Amino acid sequence: MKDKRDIVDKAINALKNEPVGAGPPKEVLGLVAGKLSEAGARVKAGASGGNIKIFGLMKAAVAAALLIVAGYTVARLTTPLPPDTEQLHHALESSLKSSLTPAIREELLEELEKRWQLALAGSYVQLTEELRQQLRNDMNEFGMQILTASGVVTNQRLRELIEAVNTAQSQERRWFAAALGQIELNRRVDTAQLRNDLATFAVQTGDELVRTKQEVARWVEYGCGDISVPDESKDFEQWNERSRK
Amino acid sequence: MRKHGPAVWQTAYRLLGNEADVADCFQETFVCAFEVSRRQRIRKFPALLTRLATTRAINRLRQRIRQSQHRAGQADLATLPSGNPGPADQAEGRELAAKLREAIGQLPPREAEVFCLRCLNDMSYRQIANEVGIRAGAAGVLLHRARMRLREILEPAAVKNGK
Repeated sequence: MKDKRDIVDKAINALKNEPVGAGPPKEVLGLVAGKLSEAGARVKAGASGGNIKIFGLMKAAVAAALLIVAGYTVARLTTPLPPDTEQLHHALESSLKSSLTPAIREELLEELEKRWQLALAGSYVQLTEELRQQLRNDMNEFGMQILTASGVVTNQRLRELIEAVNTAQSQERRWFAAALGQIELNRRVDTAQLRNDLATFAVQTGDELVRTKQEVARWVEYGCGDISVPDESKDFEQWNERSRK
Repeated sequence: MRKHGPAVWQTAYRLLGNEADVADCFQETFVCAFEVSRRQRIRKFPALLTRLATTRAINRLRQRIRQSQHRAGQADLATLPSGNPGPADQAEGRELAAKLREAIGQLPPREAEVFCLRCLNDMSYRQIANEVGIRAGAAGVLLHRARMRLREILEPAAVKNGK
């Protein structure tokens, strides 16, 4: 591969290194200069011919421009008048109204109905949910109020009950006190009565004793003679009077 | 012409190796350059002259080969006389150079042009692309193909000559 490459490079180097010479000889230069001068002269001649050509082209361009302008002017002058747009508009409007309005109206109504139904269907669920929620909230609130109110009433009732119990207890205490008072009174009355009865009994017993003594004395007297017996009946009557007082 | 003449002469001489052909090529190059300068604005005159000289030289080479083939049948590079037959045409380098000239003449015109501009005139790929009117990548491809073909052409000749 290296050899293969080298051969081309070698050939290139050999070609480059070949002696070339100082430059073109003078004859060649002169010849070329002559050729170039001829070419230059041809160019100048061609240029004038070219100018003529350019002038002709310009004439053609001007003629074309004039033709275009003339054609435009003729077209502008011969164009028909523009139609009466208002009249056309009215005619179109009336025809469109008569032909399209019923169909459009019907379509619009159908469209509206469909949209309403869709909207209602869509909102039905939402409304139901909202109502449920509202009901739930109201029930909760009511329940809370009930509970609160029942709590208050219950407390009140309890208070009333307590008061009633206290009242009843107080009444019972009063009754007991009254009963005890009455018992005390009765006891006192009974005691007084008993005292009186005892006193009476004592008096009667004394009288009986006196009588008995008198009788005994009489018996004795009948039996024994004349024995003096103290008069105790007078002493006993004085003791009864003192006790009655 | 005085300023760029030597470079144009050198380019043409390298390829043609024959003063008569080189003089014709020289003349054609400048006349063509003059015509081109009338039609369009020339930015780099030396590059244009180099390209025109190379193209004209390659055309002459191809013409020479066709004439040789017509005269001698199948062209045999090993035996084909060099463009500048001289008494001292014995050196290996001269022989190789002559073979290379002939080989360049056998290449397709575009490949030969790119090869000469790159290898003999040391122009860059971008310069070649600008002058020839192709992309730099395409110039590289053309050069590679030219080298491959030249190798194919030169090797058998070298082998035949006992290389």
